[in-house]
Amino acid sequence: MSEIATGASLPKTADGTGLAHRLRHNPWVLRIASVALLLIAWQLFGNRYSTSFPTDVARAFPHSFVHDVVPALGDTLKGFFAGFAASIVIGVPIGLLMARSRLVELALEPYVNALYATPRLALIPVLILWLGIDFQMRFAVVLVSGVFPIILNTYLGAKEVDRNLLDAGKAYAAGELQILRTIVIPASLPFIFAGFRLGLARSFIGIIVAEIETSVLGIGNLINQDAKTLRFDGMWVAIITLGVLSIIFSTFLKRTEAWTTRPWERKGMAPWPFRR
Amino acid sequence: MLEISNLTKYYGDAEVPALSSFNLNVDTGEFVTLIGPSGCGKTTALRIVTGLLEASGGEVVVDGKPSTAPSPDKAIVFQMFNLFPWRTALTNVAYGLELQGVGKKERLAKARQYLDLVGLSNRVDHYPNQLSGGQNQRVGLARALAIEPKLLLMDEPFGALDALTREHLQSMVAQICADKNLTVLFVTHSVDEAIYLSDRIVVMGTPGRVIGEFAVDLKRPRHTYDWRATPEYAAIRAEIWRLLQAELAQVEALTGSAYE
Repeated sequence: MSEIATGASLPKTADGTGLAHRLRHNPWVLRIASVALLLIAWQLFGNRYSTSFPTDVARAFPHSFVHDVVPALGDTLKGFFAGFAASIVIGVPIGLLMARSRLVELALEPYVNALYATPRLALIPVLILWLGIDFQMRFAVVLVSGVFPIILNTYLGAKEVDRNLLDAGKAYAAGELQILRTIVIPASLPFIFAGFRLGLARSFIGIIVAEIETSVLGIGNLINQDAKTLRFDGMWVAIITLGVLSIIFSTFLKRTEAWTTRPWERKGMAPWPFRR
Repeated sequence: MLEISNLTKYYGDAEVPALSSFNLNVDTGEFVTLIGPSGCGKTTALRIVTGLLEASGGEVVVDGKPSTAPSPDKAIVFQMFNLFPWRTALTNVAYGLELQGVGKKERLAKARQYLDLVGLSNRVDHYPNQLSGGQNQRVGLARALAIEPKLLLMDEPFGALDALTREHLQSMVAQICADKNLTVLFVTHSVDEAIYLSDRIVVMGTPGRVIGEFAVDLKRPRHTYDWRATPEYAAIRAEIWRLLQAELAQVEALTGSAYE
C-alpha cells in the first residue's frame, strides 16, 4: 500500500496528517528544508571570529577547494586507498583461513581479538616514530585501522555459513577449495561488506587523526592549520569536502554490496554503480 | 547396485545406536523407500550412504565399490532443498557438473535440459527466493539428476511442501525414475507416498533396525488409475500401519507415554 500511495495521488487536504503523509512520501522536501534551516540559523547566529558564515564559506569555496583542499586531499587519499586495499587483500584471506582452519583460528584469535578491542588510534604515535610522517605512515595507520574489522567480520561470517548449504556442497563432492569458492565466500559476503564499511570508517578517522598529529601534509593537517590560524572559511571547506567524500565512499560500498549479494535485484535496474 | 551390510552408527558417546546392524540391498532400477517414526535412523542411514556421515561400523557398497565419501555416482535431494540463494535455477542445477570440471557451455546446456525435464524451462534465470517451494524442490531434483548419478538419494524431499504440490511432484518423480530406470533410495514419513512411489518398502524401528519389508505390486504407471482404490493398496497400507503402531506403542511403553 505504501508503494502505491504517492504524494501526487493523495487528496489535497489542509490538515496536518495529510501534510505529514505527503512529506513522508517525498523525502527530499524535508531533507532539503532541514539543511536550509540549519544554514539560515548558522548565517543568523554565526560570527566572524569563531564560526564564519555559510555565505563566506561559499565565497571561499572555489579558491580554497582548488588551491588548498585538492592538493592536500591527494596526499591523504594516496595513503588511504593503498592502505584500505591492503586491508582487504590481507584481511579477507586471514578471516577465511581462521574460519576454515582450527589451527589458524587458535593461533590468530588472541591477536585479532586484542587488537580489535584496542583503540587503534593509540598506535599512531609509535607508527609515526617508526615510519616517519610520509606515505608509509599513512599506509600503516589505515592498515591497522581497517584490517581488524575486516578480519573479524569475514571470520564471523565464514563461521556462520548455513550447514545445509555446506552439506549440499559436500554431497556433490566439493573439495575444500571448491567449498570455499562456491559456498563460504558467497555466503559470507554480507559480513565481509559489513567489515569493509566498518574498516572504511575507522581508516578514515585514523588517517585524519594521524595528519592532525603530524601537522605536515594532508587534509587533516589543512584543517588543523586553518583552525589554529582562525581561517574558518577554509576549515569548513575542507570539513565539508571530507563529509561529502565519506558519503560517496559509503554509498559506493553499499551499492557494490547490493549488487554482489542480492543478484536477484539486478534485473531492470540502472547499471552499477548508478542504481540506488 | 547398493549393498548396505551391518551398518552401525553411534552419535558421540551415545549408548543407544542410531543404527544397529542395518542391512539393505537395492537392485539396479529399483525404487526402495525407508519409512519409520522420527528418530528411527532412516535419515542417518541415508546420510551415511551419501557420505555426509561416517559410519561407526559396517559397509556401504555402490556399484561394486566400497563407498565412504560423497562421489559423483551418488546424488541427493534434500528436504529443505539446500539451494544456493545467490545462484539462479540454471547455475544451481549446473553445480554438480561445475564441481566435476565440466566446461561452462556443456554444463549449462545440460542444466537447461534437466530444468526442462522438471518443467521449469521458463524459470531458468530465477533465483530460489523468486520460486515457490515446489519449484525450488524441482530445481533440487534437477540438480541431482544433472550429474546423472547411478544412485539417487532422497531425504523426505516433499516433507516441506503442501499436499497438492506434493502429489504433483510425486507423480513427476515416479515418471522420471521409471523413464530413466533410476536406482532410488527414498526416505519418508508418509505411508501413502511410500506405496505410490516404491517397488519395495522397508519399515524401520528404533533403534535403527529393519522391522519389516514389503514389495509393492501395484502396476505402473500408477498415476493413470486410482491406485488407492485397489485391494493391494488397502492390504499393504494396513500391514505397514499395524507395524508402525506396534512400534510406536513399544517406544511409548519404554519412554513413558503421556496418555496413561
